Amino acid sequence: MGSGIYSIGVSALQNSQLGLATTSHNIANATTEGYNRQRIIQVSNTATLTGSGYVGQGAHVSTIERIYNSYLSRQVSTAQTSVSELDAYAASIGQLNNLLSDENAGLASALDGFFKGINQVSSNPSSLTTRQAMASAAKTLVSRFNSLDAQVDAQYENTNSQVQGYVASINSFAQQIATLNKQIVVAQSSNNQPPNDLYDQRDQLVAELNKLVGVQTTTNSNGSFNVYFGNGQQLVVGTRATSLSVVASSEDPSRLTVGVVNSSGTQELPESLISGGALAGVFHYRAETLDGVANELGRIAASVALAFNAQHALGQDLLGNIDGDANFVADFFSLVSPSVVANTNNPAGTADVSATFTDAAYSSDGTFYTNLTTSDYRLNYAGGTLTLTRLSDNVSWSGATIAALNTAVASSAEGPQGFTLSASGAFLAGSSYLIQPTRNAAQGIKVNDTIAADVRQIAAAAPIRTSVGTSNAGTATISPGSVVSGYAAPASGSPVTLTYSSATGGLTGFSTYPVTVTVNGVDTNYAAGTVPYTNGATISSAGISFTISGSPQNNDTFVVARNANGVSDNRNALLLAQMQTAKTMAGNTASFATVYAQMVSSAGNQGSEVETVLAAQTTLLTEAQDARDSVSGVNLDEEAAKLLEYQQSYQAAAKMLQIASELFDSILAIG
Amino acid sequence: MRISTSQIYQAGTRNLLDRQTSLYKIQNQLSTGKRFLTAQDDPVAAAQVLLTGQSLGINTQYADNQSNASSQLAYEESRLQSVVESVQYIMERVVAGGSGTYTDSDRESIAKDLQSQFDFLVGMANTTDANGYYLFSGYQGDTQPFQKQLNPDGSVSVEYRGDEGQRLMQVGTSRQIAVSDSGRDVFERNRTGNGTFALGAAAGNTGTGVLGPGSVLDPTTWTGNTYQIAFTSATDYEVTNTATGAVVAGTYSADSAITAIPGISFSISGTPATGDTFTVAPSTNQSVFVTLQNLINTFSTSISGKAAATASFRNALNSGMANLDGVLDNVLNVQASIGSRMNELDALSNVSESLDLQYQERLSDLRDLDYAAAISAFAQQKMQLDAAQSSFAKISGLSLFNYL
Repeated sequence: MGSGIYSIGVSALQNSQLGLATTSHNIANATTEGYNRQRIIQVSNTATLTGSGYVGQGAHVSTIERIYNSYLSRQVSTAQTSVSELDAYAASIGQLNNLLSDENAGLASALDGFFKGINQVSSNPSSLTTRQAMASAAKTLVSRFNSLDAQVDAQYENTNSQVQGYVASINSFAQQIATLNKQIVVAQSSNNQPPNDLYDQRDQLVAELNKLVGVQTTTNSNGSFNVYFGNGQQLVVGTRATSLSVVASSEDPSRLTVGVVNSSGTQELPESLISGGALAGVFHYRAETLDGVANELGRIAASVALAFNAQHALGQDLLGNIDGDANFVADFFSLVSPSVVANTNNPAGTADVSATFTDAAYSSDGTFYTNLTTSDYRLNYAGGTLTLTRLSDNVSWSGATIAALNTAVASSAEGPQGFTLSASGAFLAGSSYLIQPTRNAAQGIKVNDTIAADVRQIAAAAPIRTSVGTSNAGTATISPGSVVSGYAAPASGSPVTLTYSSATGGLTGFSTYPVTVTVNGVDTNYAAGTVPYTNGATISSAGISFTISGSPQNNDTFVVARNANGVSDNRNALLLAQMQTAKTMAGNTASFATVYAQMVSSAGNQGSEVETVLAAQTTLLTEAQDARDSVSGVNLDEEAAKLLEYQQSYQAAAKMLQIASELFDSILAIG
Repeated sequence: MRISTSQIYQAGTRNLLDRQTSLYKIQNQLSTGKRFLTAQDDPVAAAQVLLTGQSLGINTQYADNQSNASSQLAYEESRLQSVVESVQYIMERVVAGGSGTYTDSDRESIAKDLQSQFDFLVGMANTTDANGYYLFSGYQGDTQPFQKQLNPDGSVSVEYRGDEGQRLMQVGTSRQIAVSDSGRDVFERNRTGNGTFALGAAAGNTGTGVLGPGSVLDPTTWTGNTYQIAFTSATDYEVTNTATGAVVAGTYSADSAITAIPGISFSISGTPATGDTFTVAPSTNQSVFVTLQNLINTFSTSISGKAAATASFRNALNSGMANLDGVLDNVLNVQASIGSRMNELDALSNVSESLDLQYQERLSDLRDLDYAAAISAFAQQKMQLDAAQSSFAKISGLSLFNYL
């Protein structure tokens, strides 16, 4: 009888001790990251049958379990991976937006300054001071392009180093999870009790991994985890971890991406497979925002250079040089060619491809403009056909040869894309090239060295001027005249003199070029010879246009000549200055400033969108964490109450032993 | 609901951080005075600020150009005023010089006076602007537009070396205004005679016929051809259209209108001699310097006691005066055109000023902080932070362990 009480008392003492130990463990781990509170599962012992019925035999602790709800944990994981992705995206795009929004460091002030410089030249074209000021403003603009591009480049570098850091951490976590898998399998198989703290540690590692890249887990029968990421890519299988590596993208070796190391070597993973986590965040940032900003900056730089050069080429410098003269510098800005990157997996010996910008196009309203887009392009050669794909919207063109392809692009409904391709050598099947027309333009734009060294070479004047004969009896006047690309100015000292004949009612004296007369928008072409006079009609010949209006008399003359000594002429400077607001970009639809403003606004929009989604996802994460913690987290007051409970139960059990002992003593005293 | 101790701390710190983030943002707004700090805060407004900023800059540039253009035009206008005064003085002297009481030496002194006016006008025509560039040379700012030349016969002529270019300045989005006028337009595009035709007497006339003023009767029938009136006797003349060769005969009567030429009429006074010829030519452009040189030559010629020479003097004086009228008309026209350009600039400058104000206001609306709202938000956030801090301190102090 007494021994029964003893054994019950001892079991009660042991249970209380286990209870106290578990409670203390909970208190000790109240602040441990990833800890799930534990509790003892106490069950009563099997009763002994006596004549008096079943006599209870005390209790024992069957197991110590952790309070863990896998559903709630999964919710936290899902929310966490998305928050980490957005967090990484938001941090990077925030930096970019700070950079773009800085009024002094942004492009807007430099563009304004440049055009202010041109305006000053147009106010005083013969002054070297204003020309010097314009050249300085141009250098400021160019260095602003360069510095903005350098900062975007730094962001690319930053992304690359982030990818390296994340991949290293992912490998480390995968390895630790594999190791814990091994320990858990061993621990569990020895006595079939759950190693709760190992579980917690492994869950915590998966949670940390999940912050870097979105993963899913499955549990094996032996208690080990399999971890997958992306599209079912194995990261950890049981006790074996797959190693990821950082590889240069085969399409563009300047950007680092993720590869999987397997028996056959390293295989590059498409970025689209990575979803969730900080890794996906930086990939998305790079592909969705950074590429766009880098290309847009380059597009503005290339358009400024191409449009400005085209108009500048139509001018005459302070030394009297015009296009075609040996010392004339047509290009105010110099640019680097569009970047073409051959895929590193291309078959050896395949063709080399290069790209060049096409000259700015000329619209009917007198504006030079470019057709460049912000997209990158991919050129593939397969089955004897070259296919060029615009990556932003997958519009594609094809042709059997590069020349046919260029023609197909130029004549398609999409219209020209602002660059043309050329190739040397024969294409081999499976060749692929990445064409980034504008990526490097902001970095490569420069002010022409000759002009920077001698500002007299800025072409502020128009190459021709007009006059009416001194002895004209009539009152007809001639407009100052303008030129278009490819114009042929009269030779120095031999002006073109047009003579009006009242007998024929026409003008004679045109050089050998055909003549176009435009009346109310209707063109009529004439061979050089007698051209009928129409009051107010625009007469174009050899790329030179002017208007004669009024009533000429017989033998009245009109003269078109080289603008010799025209140092105070500012007509080309006026046209250059007008480019500030002209629709010089995107196929004659937008000005430099609107495109830049759109870029700033679009990056800002992406940033604010990411911030908004991040805030929403963070709320979800907080709620999921609250739900999980309210089940699994340690409450110290609760543990304090349990301490008291187990302490009292321990004291009661001890009392039981004391009573059993006294009972035994009583028996002995009888004896 | 059960709650874990870490939740209390996490929620507490999260709330404190949130409040502090808000306060940080508002504090930044308050200290910079800007509604948003990066494009992320308000992408649409950020783009608008850039575009409005550009419009403001361009408008300021236009305003600069307007005042620049105004001052250049005012300078040119003042030069032209001097030209007008000089021409008016010349006209007074020429009228005075026509007086029958003047002697050859009186006329010689008028010739000298006109010569100094001639030199003055050449100087005016070669005026330079503040930067040292010639005002009236068209596009060729450093080419002296009017250069005196000694002709082989000893006479002096002034030749225009500039061109007909007008320097323009951008003073509005789609408005360029001319800030100069070419020397040809100002000094050389003077119509001879009455603007339609000019009368002349042949140098070798031996009679005393003096041409009276001509008038246009019907501009539509005026042919624009040159006619020659040749006296076949003291009372008969033939009018020849030199372009067609058509000849019309007429009978001379002093001071009565000759209407043999379609569309115009004029008269001759005095007694033309047989063989004397007169011409009627369409008006052409003649440089002020040619007109003046002719007058100087006229006044330098001795006519005392010579009837034919006196008639020739009268004819030259009449045609010179008509030409001077043309000069004055032309300069006044250019002046009027400058005046209207300056008026337009004044109007444009008013537009620019009001646009400037509008752009500034727009920028301010887009960019500047509403201090009242921001300060009240600041006070609210601060109160919330205070509450969060004090409640957190109180809650974290509650523990059962305090009683054990």
